[in-house]
Amino acid sequence: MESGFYGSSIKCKLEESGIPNTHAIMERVVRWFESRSIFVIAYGTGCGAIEMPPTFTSRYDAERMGVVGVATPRQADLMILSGYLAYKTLRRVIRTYEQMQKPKYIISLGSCPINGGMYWDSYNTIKKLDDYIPIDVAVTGCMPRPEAIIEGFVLLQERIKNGEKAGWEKYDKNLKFYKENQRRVLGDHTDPSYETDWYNLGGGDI
Amino acid sequence: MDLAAKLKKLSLTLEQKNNYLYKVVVKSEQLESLLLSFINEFDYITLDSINCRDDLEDGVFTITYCLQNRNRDHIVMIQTSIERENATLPTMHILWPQAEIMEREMHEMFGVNFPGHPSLIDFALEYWNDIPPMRRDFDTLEYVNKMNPFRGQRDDALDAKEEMKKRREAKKAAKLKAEQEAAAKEAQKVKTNTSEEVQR
Amino acid sequence: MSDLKNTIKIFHGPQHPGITGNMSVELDLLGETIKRAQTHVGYLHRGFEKLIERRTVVQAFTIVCRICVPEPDPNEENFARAVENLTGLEISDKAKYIRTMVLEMQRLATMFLWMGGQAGSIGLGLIPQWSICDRDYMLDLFEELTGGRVYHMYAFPGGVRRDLPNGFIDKLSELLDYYEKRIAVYNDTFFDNAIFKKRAMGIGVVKADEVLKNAYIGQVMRGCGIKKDVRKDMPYLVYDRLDFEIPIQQEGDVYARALVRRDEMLQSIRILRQIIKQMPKEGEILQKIPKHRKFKLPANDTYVQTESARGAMSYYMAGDGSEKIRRMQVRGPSLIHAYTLLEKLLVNAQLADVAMIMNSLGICPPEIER
Repeated sequence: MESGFYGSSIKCKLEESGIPNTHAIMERVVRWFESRSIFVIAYGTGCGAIEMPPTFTSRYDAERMGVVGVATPRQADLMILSGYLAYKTLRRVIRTYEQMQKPKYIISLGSCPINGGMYWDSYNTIKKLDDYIPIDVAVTGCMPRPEAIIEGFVLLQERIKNGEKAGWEKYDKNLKFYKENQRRVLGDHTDPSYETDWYNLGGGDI
Repeated sequence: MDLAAKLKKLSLTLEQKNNYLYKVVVKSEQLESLLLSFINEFDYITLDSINCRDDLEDGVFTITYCLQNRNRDHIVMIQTSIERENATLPTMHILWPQAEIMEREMHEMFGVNFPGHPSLIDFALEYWNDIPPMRRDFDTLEYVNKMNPFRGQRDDALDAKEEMKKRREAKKAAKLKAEQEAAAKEAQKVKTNTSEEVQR
Repeated sequence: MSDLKNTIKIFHGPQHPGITGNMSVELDLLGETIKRAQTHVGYLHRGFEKLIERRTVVQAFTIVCRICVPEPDPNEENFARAVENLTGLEISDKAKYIRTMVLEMQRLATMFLWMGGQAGSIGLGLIPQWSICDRDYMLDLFEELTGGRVYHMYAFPGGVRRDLPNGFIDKLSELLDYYEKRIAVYNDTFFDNAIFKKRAMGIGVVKADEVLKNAYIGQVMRGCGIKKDVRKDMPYLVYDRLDFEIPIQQEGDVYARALVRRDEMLQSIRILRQIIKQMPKEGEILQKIPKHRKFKLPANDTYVQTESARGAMSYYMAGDGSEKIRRMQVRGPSLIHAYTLLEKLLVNAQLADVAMIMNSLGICPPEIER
């Protein structure tokens, strides 16, 4: 997290108060709040989208953990990639992922993003999602049950609370590696970068 | 059924597969007139689907038009064969509007051309630059290995065939050992029985 | 082209809370009225037909159910029946009754999912919370019978894979009683709702004289007054021994199709009660078939049709004497509805009605592009 993350006026007041370690305490508090309000973008990309309505409605209620669906990528923290990805969808997923504001996370469902799954010999799906987009939590199953998806949410919440390194930091550091892989598999029609922070990451040169 | 009699006048044979399915094989030059007569005379007005099969060994595409009648209780499959090189078929989108999307898919997946079609554009693939993928000479495994590397195995991964062989041999050895022990016990029992009898 | 002069082009696109699945509609808008619509699919293309050409019957049976994601059972039924037609297998009475029961259970579950989508598209957020929970009770029964909630892999060429567990019939009867009470509640909240009636009547009207020629099937056909159903016209399994009706309406708009679906749910419950009464106690579950690599298909082709919850789904299957399937082509009910019918219905419609019309036609993208 950047140092100016929680507002300079609060920071000054805390430093003047004389309490030691204000920076660390504030970071812990912010992370605790952040782990309890994760907004999911409404995008059902594959097979696993059939187990999303049961997770978000009244039987296996995910809203008790603060997980709510939103409509646009500008308001979302989490994108759930439910299953395999065709090349046409991969272009749109990359574009949506880069439009999300930081901090942002990705959960992948099923065995198709790990190693191709049961479409391993298909000419139109990708086999290893890690090469193109960083994944934070991978939930196994075909499809994963709603209880398994909720376990994935809980694991993500633990990671956010402990301040572990997230996928978006990896994406910023190794942007060239990801962009090379995307260009190799998507050809010359790869979109330019839609990164929200494009000025600091090369100025649209990528 | 008078359908068979009427088709005999056009020198075609009607094959009955089961109680609702018929099949007619026709040459590609008479295809359009046969379809029109099926609509006007025999009342088969619905086009259910256009199916294509690549027979690479004979060098033809086998196209099947499946029509359904007004009462929706009989289906007829009208089959024809066209050449693989420069495959062309007359377009049916004026008779049936749903033929537009079915012919677009056939053009993308097999490479069949339809002169006069309003929109032969992409259906499911985007920026595809190889041969039409549903042809039999397109090798999916080769394409996949070229485009996408798979994830490697774990560090402690074992070879499946060797492990299965080891387990089978271990099972055989265990079975043999159990048989030998059972035989030894039987021999022991017989010995004690005979020794008891001798004692009596 | 002149009415496209001052229009704005937007994508009612793949990332949108108001579409049924992963597809997009490209709209040209003049204010809030749509002047032209073009459908785009291909976001879910896996090349199913090429995958099946490399597999034997047993290997293909495991992936066939994933062709249509919300409703996998008609796919398995079609595949099993096509292989049985090609090889001449006959299945026992008990297996026929079990397969019919599974199809009707899947029809009920899909209707609840449709209700959630249709109500959610006009903003009535209560009905998805109820109906998806009610659908979950049926998925619990599926899990007890077949082992999987969504993908069952149960109907195999030659019968079904395992027998009914103990006490299953009683649990099914209790669930049907519960569903009848719930449908009365949905009548009061959803189907008699003044806002739904006002929004849905007169929108998305399909005329009756072009329905049969253009092959509009399912509830689109029955909402226009044409009383046809694959289960009555070309009966398969045990539908010729069961007593049920086909509901129709006359207007052909979104509201009429919703009423047709509600009446079909009641007819499904009626069919399931008859099956429970008539189910034979003894019977062979699975016929003896040759082993994996020795199950060869003859050099012939066939065409099968099954009535799914959204219309008639057809398979074309051809073999060539080896153990691999030569060609299998799928024609789902959404192919024609999503392209020909949707692009026609959306002209001069309002932007806010796009989601409602798409839900009412029952469009499911995975079976359009497989």
